[in-house]
Amino acid sequence: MGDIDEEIKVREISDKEIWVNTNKFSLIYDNIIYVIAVGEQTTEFAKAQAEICMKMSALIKGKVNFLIDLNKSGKNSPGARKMWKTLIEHDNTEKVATFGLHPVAKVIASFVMRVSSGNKMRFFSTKEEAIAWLRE
Amino acid sequence: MVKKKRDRIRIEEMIEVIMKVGQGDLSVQLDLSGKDDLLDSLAMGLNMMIDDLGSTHAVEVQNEKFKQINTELEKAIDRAQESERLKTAFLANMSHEIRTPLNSILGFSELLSPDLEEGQFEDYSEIIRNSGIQLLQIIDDILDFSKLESNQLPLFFSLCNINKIMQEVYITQKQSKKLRQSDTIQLKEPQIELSNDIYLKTDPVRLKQILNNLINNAIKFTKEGFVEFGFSIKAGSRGEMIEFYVKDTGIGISDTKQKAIFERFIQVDSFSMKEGNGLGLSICKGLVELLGGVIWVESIVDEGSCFYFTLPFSDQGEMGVTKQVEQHNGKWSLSGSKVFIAEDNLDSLTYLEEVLLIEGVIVKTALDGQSLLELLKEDTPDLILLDINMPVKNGYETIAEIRKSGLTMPVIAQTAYAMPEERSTILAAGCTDYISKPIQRTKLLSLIREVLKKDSK
Repeated sequence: MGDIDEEIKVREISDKEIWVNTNKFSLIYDNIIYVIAVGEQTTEFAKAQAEICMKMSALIKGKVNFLIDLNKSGKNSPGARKMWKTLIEHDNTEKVATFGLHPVAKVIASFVMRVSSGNKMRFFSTKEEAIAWLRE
Repeated sequence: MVKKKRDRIRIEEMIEVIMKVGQGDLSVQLDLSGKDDLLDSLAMGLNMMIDDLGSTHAVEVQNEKFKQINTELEKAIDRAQESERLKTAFLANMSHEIRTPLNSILGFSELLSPDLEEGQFEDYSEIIRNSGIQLLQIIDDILDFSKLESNQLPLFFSLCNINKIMQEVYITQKQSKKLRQSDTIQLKEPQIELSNDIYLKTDPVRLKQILNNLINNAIKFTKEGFVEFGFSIKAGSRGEMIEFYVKDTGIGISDTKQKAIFERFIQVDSFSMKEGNGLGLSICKGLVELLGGVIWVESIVDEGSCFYFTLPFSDQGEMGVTKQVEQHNGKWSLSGSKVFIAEDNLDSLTYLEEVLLIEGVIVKTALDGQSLLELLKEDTPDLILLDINMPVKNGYETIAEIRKSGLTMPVIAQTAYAMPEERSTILAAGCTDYISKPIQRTKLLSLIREVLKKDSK
């Protein structure tokens, strides 16, 4: 239910690779922020990730795309989903592609997608399919 | 059909969680096996739905709180609007209340001339005086009310003989204009249960004020019959108390209005245009509560009302030592006495001068404190009448310099502030006594005699 207070650790490997706890953020193809979500996504955790996304967005000329790997993601709290909604609906966001092979990832994606209106966001089984859609 | 036993257990766990959620427990969550299979996805979905339900529930709880706050705010707005409406009505009524006696004062003052027929001068003067008293009462009520509203009304407790107070109130009320002019209303002598004198530690001025207010109201709303008042000693939950009552055979008050009449600005019948500022009962309630008691009314429409109020009482009769105030009923001639008056308002100065000259007093006047100090360099009076609010040098600065110079003659301060606490400030500044404006001739002369007599001892 409620988020447990947890310590948020941010590690900047380079401008293009930042870790927030177990989640990895990297910049690929110049305009895609690639997020590997691992474990439970709490509200506080999500807020820290949003800041990293905004920071990385500043490196991108033009609109930003997101590629989110949900294969190892745990539950997304309602607060975290709300944060994703804000990010997805941001004017500077072009498209958001989530992917995962197993049914759990699909369920998580459906909950995240539910909060967002429009067709900016889609779910794919594989990373390749997702990237292909983003680069269309 | 579920084949594996482990899967069956997982499904049973899900059913159990769903039942708990159904009973309102939104703290439950399912453990995931880590296989990322269909059952895990089902469990994940359930967990997130439960989270959403929890969020929705929290929002509903918050909304309920907001609703309650909104309801309270709406009530507060209603109360504020009602208060505003009553204030407006009160101001309109107050304007009427003030203008009516003013109208008489100004109107009859214009009619005063040496050509009046015999008796007319006295009649007009009487009307002017009565209107002045009425106006003063209104101002006193407003001041008391504002003090009560801001919790700044000081009380001066002393041991009082209640029987004596009742008798004094009876004598005062017996002389009221309406009673004197009416032969259909009778004010009965106070009903006192006990023959012995009863002493009560309270503020006698305020107790008389409450009784007079209630009796005035009773007389005002009674066309025929009687008004009576009295007291008895009652046992209450917090010890013994004195229960006072004022009963009438007047128009009565309906059940719905019985509580409201103690609220500020409310009159029994707002449409009847009865005279009064609507503050009387509100002041009574405030005073009774300040004195530690409660006030209420019992009434039947067209039959009459009985107002009760209690004051805490412990038997202080025998042990009470009342301060014997020396009475000065016998007139002590002021003729030949020398009085200096410092007063910046010319009308007030002329009035004081005239009152004293008639008594044969030698008077010298000053328009401010500095001029008075100059006068004192030339001559020494028997007494000084000192206004507090004056230009150049105010009363406080002047009395300080008078006392600093070693002069010890009595000084009576006169001020329009009229607040009881003003008295202690004035006395602490070095004045001998104090009189508040408007100054009544008899009161002033009596005070001067008292002060001069004390000083001569």
